[in-house]
Amino acid sequence: MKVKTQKLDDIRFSIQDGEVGLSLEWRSGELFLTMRGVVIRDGETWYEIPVKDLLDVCVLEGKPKRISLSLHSAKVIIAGENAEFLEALRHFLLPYVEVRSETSVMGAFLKLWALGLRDIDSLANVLALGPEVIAALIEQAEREGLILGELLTMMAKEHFSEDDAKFLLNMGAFHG
Amino acid sequence: MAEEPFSSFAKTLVTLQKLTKIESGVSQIISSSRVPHAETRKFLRCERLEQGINTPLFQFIRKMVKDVGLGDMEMVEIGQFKHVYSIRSNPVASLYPEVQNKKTCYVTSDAFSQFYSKDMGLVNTGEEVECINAGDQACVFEINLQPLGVYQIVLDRTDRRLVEVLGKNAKLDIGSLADELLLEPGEVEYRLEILRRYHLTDDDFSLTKIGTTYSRYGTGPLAEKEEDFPPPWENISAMASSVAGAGSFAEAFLGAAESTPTWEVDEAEIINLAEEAKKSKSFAELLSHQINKGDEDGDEGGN
Repeated sequence: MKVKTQKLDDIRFSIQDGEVGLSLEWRSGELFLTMRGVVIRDGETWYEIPVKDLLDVCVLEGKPKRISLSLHSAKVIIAGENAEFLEALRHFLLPYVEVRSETSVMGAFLKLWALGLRDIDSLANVLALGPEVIAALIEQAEREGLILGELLTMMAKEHFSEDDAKFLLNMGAFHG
Repeated sequence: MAEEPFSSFAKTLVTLQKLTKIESGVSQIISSSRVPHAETRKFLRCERLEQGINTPLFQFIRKMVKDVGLGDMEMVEIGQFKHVYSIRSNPVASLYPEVQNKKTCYVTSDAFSQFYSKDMGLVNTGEEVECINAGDQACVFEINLQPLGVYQIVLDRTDRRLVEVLGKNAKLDIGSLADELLLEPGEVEYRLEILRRYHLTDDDFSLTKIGTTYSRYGTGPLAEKEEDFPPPWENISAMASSVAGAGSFAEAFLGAAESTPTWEVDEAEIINLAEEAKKSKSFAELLSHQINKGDEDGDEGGN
């Protein structure tokens, strides 16, 4: 059976295996559209990324612009000169992604905790959330080991930007 | 989801072309529209919708959103840490006629979010909460502002002095505060009301725990150094022409793709990465085989 494809752009790409840790490092390729998703041509080899199996499509910081297409246990990273096209491709594919993680308020909560705001009512006011949600956030942060007493643990760092983490480190918000 | 979610190359390419055009316009605007904190502050301090929509910043956002092709927006809610916009006749939603019962307008929520973070300096999460394609009456976008970012901008130097004075002297009356800060009593009342609204003081204008925390950090490490520069709407005509230029580039880019003939590839020659990745051993073997082919090398993402 033949699959119809339409070339979109020249790209660089990399494929990473999420389980074994192997990765096919950066190669030049061509990006094509099919009726099922996108296909990357690497010389004689064609790699297909069906839209129905996409778990997420996100932008990676840096230049040139890169987007990451996540599949179960694999990630395909695409880089291209035309940043706006890659963003458009991401926004085009996102509605077809079945499950998308919602943004968490944990980072904002942890920052306020570190700044000394720890009573449920004040946190509820500042974060514009119900007291029961704040109580659940505190419980979750304790359970996941993000807070220990009045301080944050190093595990909480991943919830902050680099600048925020540095600021919080400087003010002694972390254990150890 | 259907095996073939896209109905035709032509329609898909037009959608990609329109999205690329929007992205180019958004990127032009974001890169040239930094808003002085003083203007962001005026917008943030609005308590009622009619105040918000009369600010120059809101008018600017509305014009830019329309110019880049995201549609005609309205503001439907203004809260201390949340702004909500609605687009009834949404050109972005109409780009996804095949998607049903799902939200589709990520390009719009990302555009709002980027403008708020990069140009207004407000860390936020932007999300489409209702969508015409999900069966709603309009597409509704919520911008949830991270409170710390808001606190860094919403108070000006005089407000911060007021917080400091309240921290040192809990029970000063309005007249004494006015004398201390060299302000008219009416202005002190107005500023106290803002502090109360942002939960920095309680109803009798003594500092809350948030206010005490702010007085400790807000006037020191959290206080932003404010730069003074003209707001982007003072140069709106130049911006409109750069948005138009970005649009023609996008049209040319995918116009070329549209005129490229389609290829037919034997299905047996295509490696389905999703299927391969499910079989971890064979996927590792596949990658290993491709790595060993070693026909190219290069730096990360570079050319």
